Amino acid sequence: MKKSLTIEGRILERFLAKIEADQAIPPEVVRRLRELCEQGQINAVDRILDALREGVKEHATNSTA
Amino acid sequence: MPRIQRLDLQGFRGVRQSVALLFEGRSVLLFGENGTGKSSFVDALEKLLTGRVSTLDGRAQALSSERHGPHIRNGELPPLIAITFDDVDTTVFDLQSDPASLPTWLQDYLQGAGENLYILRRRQVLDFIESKPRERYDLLRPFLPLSGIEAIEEALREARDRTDAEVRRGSEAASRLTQDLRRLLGSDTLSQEPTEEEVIRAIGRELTAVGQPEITAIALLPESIARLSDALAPFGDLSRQSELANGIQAVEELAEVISRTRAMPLLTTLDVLLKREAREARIFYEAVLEQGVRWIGEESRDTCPLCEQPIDAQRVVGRTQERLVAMREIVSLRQEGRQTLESARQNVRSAIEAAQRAEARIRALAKEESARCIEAIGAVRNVLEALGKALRGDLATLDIEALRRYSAQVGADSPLVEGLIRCQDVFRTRLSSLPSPQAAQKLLSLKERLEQVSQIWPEVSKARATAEEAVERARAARTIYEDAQTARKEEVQSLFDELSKEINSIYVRLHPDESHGGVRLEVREAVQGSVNIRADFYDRQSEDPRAYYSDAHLDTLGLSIFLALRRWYRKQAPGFDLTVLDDVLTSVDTAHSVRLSEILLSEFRDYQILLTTHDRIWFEHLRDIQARCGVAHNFVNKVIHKWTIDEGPDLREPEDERQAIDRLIADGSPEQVAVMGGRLLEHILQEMRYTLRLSVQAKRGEQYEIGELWPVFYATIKKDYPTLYEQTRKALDGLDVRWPVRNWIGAHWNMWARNISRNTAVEFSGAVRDLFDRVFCSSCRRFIAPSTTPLGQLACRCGMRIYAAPGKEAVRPQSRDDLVRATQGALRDARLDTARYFDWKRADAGREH
Repeated sequence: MKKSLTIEGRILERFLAKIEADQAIPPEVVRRLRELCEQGQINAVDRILDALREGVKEHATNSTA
Repeated sequence: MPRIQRLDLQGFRGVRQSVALLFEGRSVLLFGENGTGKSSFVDALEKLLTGRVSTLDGRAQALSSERHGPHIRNGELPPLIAITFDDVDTTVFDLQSDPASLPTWLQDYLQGAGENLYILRRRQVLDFIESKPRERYDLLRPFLPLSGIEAIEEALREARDRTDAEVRRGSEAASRLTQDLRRLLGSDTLSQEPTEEEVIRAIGRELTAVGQPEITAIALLPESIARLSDALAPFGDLSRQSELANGIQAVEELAEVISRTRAMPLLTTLDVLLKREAREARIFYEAVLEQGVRWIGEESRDTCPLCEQPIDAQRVVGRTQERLVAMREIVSLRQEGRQTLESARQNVRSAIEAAQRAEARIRALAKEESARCIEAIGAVRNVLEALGKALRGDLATLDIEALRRYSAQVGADSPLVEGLIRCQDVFRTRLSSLPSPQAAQKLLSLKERLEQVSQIWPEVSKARATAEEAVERARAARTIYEDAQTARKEEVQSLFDELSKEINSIYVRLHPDESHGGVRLEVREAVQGSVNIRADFYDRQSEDPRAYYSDAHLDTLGLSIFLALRRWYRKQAPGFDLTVLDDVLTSVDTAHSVRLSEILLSEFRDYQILLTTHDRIWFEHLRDIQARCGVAHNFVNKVIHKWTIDEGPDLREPEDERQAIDRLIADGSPEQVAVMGGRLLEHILQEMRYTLRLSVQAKRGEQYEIGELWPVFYATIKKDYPTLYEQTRKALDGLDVRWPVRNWIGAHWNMWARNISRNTAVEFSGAVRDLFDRVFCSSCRRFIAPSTTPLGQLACRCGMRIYAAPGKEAVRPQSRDDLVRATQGALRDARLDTARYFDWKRADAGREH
């Protein structure tokens, strides 16, 4: 963990590391959430729902392919 | 970094006349008896830097710094509070300053000062420990800027709730379609969630019953339907039979769907909810809250404010818990109500769609045959649409009477539903009257059902896939939200661990060799924004410190927490270094206070400290500790000699009074000369009472008059310190005769005293001045005091002024450097700190035993 980050930055990093390691979350969703973080949009509910929708769909497609 | 040069105050709290506390860019140790205005300076700093005074604002409804800050005799005059900084421009910041026009460094300074995280008063020492976990979190909020993360968590929580709602909706839609499927293929042959294999088997059974081959996949259904059409061909035109059978089925389906639309479960839930809410509101708000407020108002009564009977605390707690259980049930009922409402809306939507489908099918019949039925369906649809409208909005705004009325209109025995059944009977009678063999009817019925199955099955599959995807999304959303919460808690906990380490390092040094410590701040797992405090006590690990710690240990723990937090906050606001400790050190015993002072003075040397104390002995201790910690040059030590309501705290230095005497002897009136002489004499005697341990009867507030101190002082000097007496004989003997002059002229007004000559006043004040010059060292700015060795010697701290013990040579007091030199370097690295002193003491005690 980079100590130079602010506490909020560190929490966000830890959060992303957690969802990345969490088997219950499709990696396609994680990727989209990471993008939202980078765009500073991770606090927008509709964008999160879009990420979930598209990520889960893509994951289902990838899994069956 | 610029520091405070001076704090000017007028007309605020206990200060009426203009007074300045001179910091000179250093820390200040301020001594004053209780009630001499020390806290006025602390209040003024807080008011100017934060806009509020925590001993007034927010303490009680009627108290405020706006109302109670100005001096009580200040009239309409606004108070003056100003800080002058020691920067090149000697920038002044006062109550009228516009922060935007200030230099950048000062804006940074003020930003750091905005939150009061640097002032600790005696009564606040235990605030953090005694707070509830949630309040404790609030106290730490300024250190935890988490608003951005909280917004993210809130968004993730909403996403979780919305995906959960999608799961419910998707599952209801799939369930509706499945019910239709089971109705078409026989509910006894299919499970609640039939698989494709089950459906194929059920269709196979139906086809076998009419002599048709089974199918192996639903995709083959159109071929079966085509084969059924072929089988029907020999029976001629069956379109009328088909239309009638369709009509019967459509009405049947509509009646079945309507049976699911009733709002009764919703009405029942609402009924229970409203009754419970009304009852709880009455009991909870009226009985509990109103009585509770009265009770709180009368503070900790052990009798009931209404009936004056003793209160059974356990019973009160029991009742409160009952109320809480009831409130939780209401919350659960609301949740149930919302789900039932959503389900009712879905059912009504399905029923309206079924009515539209039925109407379309019935229209295929001849107009004279269909008119009455279409009318009946239309009436039902109107009621359903009205019911749909009544179900809009949330639970609180539902029109219950309308719901009840419309629900009754589509009830099982209602005229509208009976009208539908009558239409169905008419169609059945007509169908049975048509020439149609049984076999043809069976084939026809199966063909039509299979046609519907072929339409519904893809919808079922799609709805199930949608529902599964929604479940997948909801699972992911839930896990993401939980991960976000865990990440925040873990990171905050790691910060708390750092802070706990800091608190411990201070606390353990205050209590070496004591089997407690292990202080830990913990994020509470179950509750958001809540902090527990835990500590070890001998064999007990991780307990609430209040359970076992003594009051003194809790005090030192409170101080350790404050200092750790102050250091923590400095990391966030490095440009702000002020720390104020208002009379807090004397709340703990001497040994711990000494250690605490050493930590404060040595490790907080890069802070500008305002340290106040009401204890004269402790004030002297602190001056010694300053020297021992090598920070004496960082401190300005100030004494408040006295306080009056009109003049406020008297902060004048004895040298000021000495100079004033010179000036007044030159051109002052006899009264002025005597008053100033009297003041300086008071000053000398107050100091000497302490340094020479003069034996006088103790007085409240330690405010002695000259008449009480002088005879003891004079006798002591003559008896115990003959060298001083010999060298100051003229002044001392003169004053022994003339000291009452101060009372005759300066302190009390006497008509006869007006005849006292100027010469008498000058002689009196001149003698005081001479005495002052003998007992005060202008080099080290300290009064003389008995030396440790040799006994009977008086000396100032620097040794410039020494009165040798009788028959002995004068010995200059040794500095720490002298001591180190005397040991030829052996003591070079040793620290003469308290810990070492106590080690020596323990070793000595061990040897004695």
